[in-house]
Amino acid sequence: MPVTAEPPSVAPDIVRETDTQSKESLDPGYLVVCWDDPVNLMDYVTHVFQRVFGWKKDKAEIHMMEVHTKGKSVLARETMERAEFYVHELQKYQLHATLEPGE
Amino acid sequence: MKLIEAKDGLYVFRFTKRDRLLLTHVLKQFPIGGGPVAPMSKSGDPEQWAESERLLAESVAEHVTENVRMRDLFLGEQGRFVEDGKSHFRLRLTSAQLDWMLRVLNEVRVGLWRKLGQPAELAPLALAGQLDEVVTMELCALFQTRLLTALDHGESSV
Repeated sequence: MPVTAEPPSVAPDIVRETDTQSKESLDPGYLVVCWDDPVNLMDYVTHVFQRVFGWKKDKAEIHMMEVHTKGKSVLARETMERAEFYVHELQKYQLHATLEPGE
Repeated sequence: MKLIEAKDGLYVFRFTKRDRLLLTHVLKQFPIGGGPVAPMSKSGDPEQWAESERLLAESVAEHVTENVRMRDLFLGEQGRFVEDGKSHFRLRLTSAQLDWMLRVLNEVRVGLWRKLGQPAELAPLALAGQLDEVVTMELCALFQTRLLTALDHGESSV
């Protein structure tokens, strides 16, 4: 009668990392920035932020006001591909949007 | 142009003959100029972004072509403006159509602004022989404001 071999007892070592880094410092990504201009209507800009990012009106208005009062607003931090997508969408709405390397 | 109903993502406006003529006039001006409104990035070497710039220009150009096609459909569609009495019309728009119209009106407005040299103020240009462009920009802004107010009304009544 064959004897069933005991399965080897193998378990992964657990090494706890003591030095951790934030997600941002590991991958700074790209910032989607909207810049102020004297032509786009404030309510229109709010509408565009709602459409492109799916934000609630309150959040869209905060970013619109930041563009208006500070000259620009960082709308998102994304991968290169995703940031490019957002810049394309915003520019199709005629907003002055660019992507900038994250810091 | 007056909103008379906003319900379930459908917006009904009442137009006078003059409103209709003015809206048609500004929509027919689309497209003005072309190309992206800004570079892809303000940082780094422009050569680094060359491919991204090309893709952006391509994407914007496709978008303009599609909007021209939709504009022609919109203006050519029988029954788009339904007679409402002797001197009024009704226009029904879905929220997607309303968003499209907002975009096109904005593209005319921004296109004219770019054509005028991206001025900080419009009033001096009106006195310097650019009255037609300035009036068209203001008309676009007026229609945009009405559409945005309608959207607001529609969202608050959901």
